[in-house]
Amino acid sequence: MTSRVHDEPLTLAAYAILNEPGDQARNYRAALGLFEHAEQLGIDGLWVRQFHLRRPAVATASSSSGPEPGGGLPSPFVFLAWLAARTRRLRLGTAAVTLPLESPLRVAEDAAVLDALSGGRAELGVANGGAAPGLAELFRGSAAGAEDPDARRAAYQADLARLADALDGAALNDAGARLNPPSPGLSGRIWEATLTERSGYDTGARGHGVLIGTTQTVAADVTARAYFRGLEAYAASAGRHRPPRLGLATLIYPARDRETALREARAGIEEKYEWGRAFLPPATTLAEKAASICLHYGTAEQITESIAAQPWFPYATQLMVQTELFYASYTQRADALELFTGEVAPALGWTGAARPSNS
Amino acid sequence: MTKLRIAVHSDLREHGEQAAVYRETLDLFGYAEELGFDTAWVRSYKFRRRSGAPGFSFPGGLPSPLVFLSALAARTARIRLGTAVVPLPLENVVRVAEDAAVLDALSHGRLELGVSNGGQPAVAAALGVDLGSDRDGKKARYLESLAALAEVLDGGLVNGTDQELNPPAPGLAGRIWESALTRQTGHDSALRGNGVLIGTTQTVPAEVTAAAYHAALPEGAPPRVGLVVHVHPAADRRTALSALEADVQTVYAWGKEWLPPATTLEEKAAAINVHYGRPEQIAESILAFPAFPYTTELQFSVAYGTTSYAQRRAAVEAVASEIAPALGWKPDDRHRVTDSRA
Repeated sequence: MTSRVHDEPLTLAAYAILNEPGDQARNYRAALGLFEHAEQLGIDGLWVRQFHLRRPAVATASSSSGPEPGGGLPSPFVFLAWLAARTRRLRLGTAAVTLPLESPLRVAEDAAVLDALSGGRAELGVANGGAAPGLAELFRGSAAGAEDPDARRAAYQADLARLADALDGAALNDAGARLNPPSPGLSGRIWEATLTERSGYDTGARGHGVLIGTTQTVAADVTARAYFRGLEAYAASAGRHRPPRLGLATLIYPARDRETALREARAGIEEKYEWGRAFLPPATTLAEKAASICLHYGTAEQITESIAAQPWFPYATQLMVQTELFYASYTQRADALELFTGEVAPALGWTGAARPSNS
Repeated sequence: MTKLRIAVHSDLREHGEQAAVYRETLDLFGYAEELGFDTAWVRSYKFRRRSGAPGFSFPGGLPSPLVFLSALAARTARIRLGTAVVPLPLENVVRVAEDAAVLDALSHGRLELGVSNGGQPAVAAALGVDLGSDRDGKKARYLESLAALAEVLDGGLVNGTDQELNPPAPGLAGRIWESALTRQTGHDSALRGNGVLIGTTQTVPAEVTAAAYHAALPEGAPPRVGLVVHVHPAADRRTALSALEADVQTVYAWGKEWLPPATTLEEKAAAINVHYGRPEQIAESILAFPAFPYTTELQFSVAYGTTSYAQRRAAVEAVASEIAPALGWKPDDRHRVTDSRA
């Protein structure tokens, strides 16, 4: 196996974007059931993505409304608080809160309440973003500098600093008001979702964890290497070392062989490749497209080999396993997670499953 | 006549470490569901001062009611989940709609969404919100926010975009309540089709606001009037008063400029509308309260004079077993489900 470039133990999380058609309430509740089960399997954490709003269904000639549009989850803290009450050990992460669309202090409050309700299990992932026209006005009441990447970056960094200060108990107004509830240690559990080499470096230089997707314009290992360089810069300037925290989204589809996997997952592979065609590695055959969207598929051994061969794998401290896009049922997703925790992750060096569960 | 409902109401400002207060309150609300209570309401407070004496004046509380109520949703099956209240001037209305819609989806439609035109200038300043100095302007912006909230919850296109709220929140716009302090807001809330949440220590007597609400309610519309009542059950009124003394003094001192004049401890307890003593004395006291006939949901707070979770649990038990039945409340047998989770 590829040797790792750090000494941190490999941890394992479930990752869900929850962007699926159908009855949203039913989708959420089925996902909650899956994540309760994930804790039983020994998985260390969970990350959920944030999506705001959606386009309404378009009416067609044959029906007054079109197919149920996809959705997503706009309120990760509300969702994770439900799991805080139903789980004992699972770490509960946002991946990620789009900071430019939020009040940093409201994010701090929600994160602090989640942390208090969960006994300190919150992992606070944030991201720059929300640049689509109209969104900043809608959520923040202004869109200052929306067109200028440097201004957007500066505004994001100011929000991030405000968030971290609030979590650390800084005075928030002239009257000396502080965040309530107190959130000891939570500012040390900030992660940033990044897309580029520069933002990977900046995240490391701030001493934060980093969340990296595998279908991005910049290859994941480029961002990962930049993050480690940033962490060195943090250690040099802060005079203390922060252990790396690097989570990689890992999309899997287990089947009895690779051909079966490709056949069953065809529609999802084609759809995702089309979505990212402009920036993904070029591909023609279905197998090439599966590789291009970084899908790991087949038997446990084949999935293990595929992940271990990734250029980013030596840098990862956490695999964020995603069982979405291709699955026919929640039973099938649960089976996939069980295969991953039982066979794939241990072969990759994960020892968490051996840990006794508190629940 | 509308069937009386009962709720447990907490401001989560009890003495102690905040995480422990949250957990004990969740336990208390879970117990309230077992006892047949219809709703659990939580107040919201932002920030804390660096210091402050524990007790009623403890400057903490809960800033994120919808996050908290989601944990309660996970632990309960039936009890309704109320925010009392989300201060709209301090919030982004679309974010409120999103959080409310997600909680409603996770809880099978159990959310009751209380909102207010609240917010203190210093708190708003910290949040980067300018409340303005003009009361009429603030009121106008509140009404705009409230209308936008209802429209977004009803699935309308979100202002300035070609998008709609996700997840959908069917029926939730019909479960908005407004904090009402005056005759005018009681009247206006009724015309807007919203419920009203009324406290008992207000500049305008609760019955005035409640009567204005009923008078303005359109023919056939079911009234929703929630009234907060502070209760302290004990072996007798003297014992109760002794336990209540510190909190009564603190609350009366806080509101003495606009509360009815009072000198003795009994007078001050009456001025802030604490009902105390044996359960039947508490029931009599509530029955005699002028706002009671207008009330559709009594929201019991057991914070005054209690210093432990065990005391609050006993007080909630006394409400369900003796006080509320004496006021005409009956637990619904179909509701006697402690846990219907799979």
